[in-house]
Amino acid sequence: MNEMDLLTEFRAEVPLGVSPHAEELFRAGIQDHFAERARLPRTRNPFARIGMRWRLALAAGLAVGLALGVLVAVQPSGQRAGQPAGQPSAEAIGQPSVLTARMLADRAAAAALTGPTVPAGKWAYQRTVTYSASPPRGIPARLTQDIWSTADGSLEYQGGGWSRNAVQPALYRELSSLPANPVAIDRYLARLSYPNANATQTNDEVAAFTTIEQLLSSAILPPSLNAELYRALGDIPTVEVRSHVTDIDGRAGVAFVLPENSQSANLEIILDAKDYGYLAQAAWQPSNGTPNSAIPFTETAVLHTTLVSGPGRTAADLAPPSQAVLAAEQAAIAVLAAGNPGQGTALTHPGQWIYRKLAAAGGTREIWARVDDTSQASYVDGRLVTCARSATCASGIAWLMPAGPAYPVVYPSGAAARYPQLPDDPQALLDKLSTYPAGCADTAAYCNAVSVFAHMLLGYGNTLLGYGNIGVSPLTWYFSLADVPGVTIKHVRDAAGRADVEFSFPVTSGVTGILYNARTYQFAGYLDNGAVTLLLQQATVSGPGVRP
Amino acid sequence: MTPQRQAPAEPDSDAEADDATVIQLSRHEPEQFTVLFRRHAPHIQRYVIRRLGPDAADDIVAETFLLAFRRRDSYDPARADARPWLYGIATNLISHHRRAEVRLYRALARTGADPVCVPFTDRVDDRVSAGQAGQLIAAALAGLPAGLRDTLLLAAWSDLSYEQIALALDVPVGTVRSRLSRARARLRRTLGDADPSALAEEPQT
Repeated sequence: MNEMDLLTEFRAEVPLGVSPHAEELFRAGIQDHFAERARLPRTRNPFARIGMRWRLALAAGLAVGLALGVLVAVQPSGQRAGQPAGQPSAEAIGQPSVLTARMLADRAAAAALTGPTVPAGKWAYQRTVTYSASPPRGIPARLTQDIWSTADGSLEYQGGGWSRNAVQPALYRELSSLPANPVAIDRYLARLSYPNANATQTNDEVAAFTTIEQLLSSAILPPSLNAELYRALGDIPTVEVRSHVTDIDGRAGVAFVLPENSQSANLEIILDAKDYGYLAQAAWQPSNGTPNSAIPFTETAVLHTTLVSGPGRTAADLAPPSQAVLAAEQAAIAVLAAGNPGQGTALTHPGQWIYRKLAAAGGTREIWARVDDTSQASYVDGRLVTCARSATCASGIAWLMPAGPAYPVVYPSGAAARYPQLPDDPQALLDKLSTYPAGCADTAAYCNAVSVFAHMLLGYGNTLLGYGNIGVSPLTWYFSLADVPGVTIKHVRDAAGRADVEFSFPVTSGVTGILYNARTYQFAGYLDNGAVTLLLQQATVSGPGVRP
Repeated sequence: MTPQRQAPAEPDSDAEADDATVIQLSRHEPEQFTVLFRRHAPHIQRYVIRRLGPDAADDIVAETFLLAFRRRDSYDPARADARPWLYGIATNLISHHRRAEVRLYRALARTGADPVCVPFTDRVDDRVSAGQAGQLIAAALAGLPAGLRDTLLLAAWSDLSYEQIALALDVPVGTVRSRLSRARARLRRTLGDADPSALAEEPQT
């Protein structure tokens, strides 16, 4: 090997690739020059998260906001805003139509009854397109989004962004528990509008319409309930029908319309003209009082809905949700209900010391380790021994993180934050973690990934809240574990007497089970080759040997 | 956000047009210039990081392409491959950070830990240490005059031919050859009389 070969290997770890930050700087520079003309292809959508909020504002805000009695600020859209590619429905609202609301409701209800019964925890993948005449800054007028949600709408996932919808599952549950007759549902919907008795008829109608709109667009309801909701739409006195409308995707439809009133713009639920399946919801205002030039203020169309095995998956899967997926959902809801783990209180300083008390086969152990597990300390024969990973004593230490991604990959900061991190998609994360050799050969069963998961949960300090945070949401972890082939769920009582949920993996070596607290879904311990390690206590301390 | 999955498919037409054509097109359609960025920025960025570390690299890479963009009208359309031009601009920008570059080599030579590579250490059990050979190379690079170092590192890291390096640095190709032989001689001297292959492999523990 000559000096040129050595030079070629020098700093060869630096990957080939352009950092997102450099690309942004370049694009910003070009756009400064050609602010108007340059329409640059983007490889990444920096607005993804804002987009989700915007969509939620549209879907939930319009509906729930109105249901709570908040008046939606409808912007006049008379000025020439960019028309969407598929022309919005522009038929005159006053045009007499052959179809009455009740007739349309009956047809839609009959069609709905032929739909499948989908369990509340089943995942659905939807592609939606939202058009907005006056989008928030930075959001394109026409926004296509891929969204995963459970059938009851309680959890929503969008490319690494997770959210919990607290209102919808309650609606779903309560509506599902009603006797299947229109009167009960009408009464329920009417009660939603205002808690006080002074609610006007308009209040009631807007609340009912927007609640139904929300449920139809974002939940997969039992067929009988779905049918009753359509009948309830037909029962709202002022609801009209517009035939021959087109949604923003250009599909022929027929729409229920709640005409503009003191509390809302025109609201529309557009159904497929042929099979009466749900297509889109829209809110719009006639501009300058001339209905023929109406432009939708906003419209969200569902391009397709596919039942899938879990969040992030796109292949159709009709099987009921697995026990592991249901457990992951419980975990996700518990985490979201606990607030916003991993933000604010996460430990990001890699040098911080953490005290941990563990229970293992040999009894209770106390370990002090830095957040990034680069140094460890414990008592040996009554003497505190501290060792750095780079030191010669390191080989005699049982590292909490024996293998896996380096801390800067997991929790990037500074320069590293600008380089690709771990993926936020459950399956992709599992695949990525499988690439770290954790000493087991059963790669098809993801045993390396499972071991790495378990070690990160125990060994990296940002798990102090008990949930872990690896630069992607801890919720993604649960669904990654649920994606491991053959995973099962066991309810166990651990040696410390705690009720745990165990994700149990059909692997022959390495970590075979990960334990979570059955109520909070915080990390409780793991099983490694049959031996249980339980995390009894952890706390930040000022240095090795210091107890909290 | 996982860029791997979201990367758009490369339009086929990109493969057809050489750099000169893309630059010609970009005179009237500025957005065409992003084709050049997609094509070459990953390599330029790696080159700049290897010399200056990730902190400075983002700005320099963006600035390289923005300078090129502003000068696109004067690009010689006879040069189908724009890499010598781009590496030349990048090398000029790097020269403004000469002290920082040398500081990084010296830190590595002294401590054995390479600050440039820390963000790219993927595994917890990886060693950030560059090994003895890395330390000696860093020491040698720190001691090279700037002209020799520019030539040597373009030869080692850029895939440019001697003729293209000459274009990038705006010197005759004979100068490239003589600089390279001088730089390699100094590198060999620093690596010592010992067989350099003895330094190549760090035993894995």
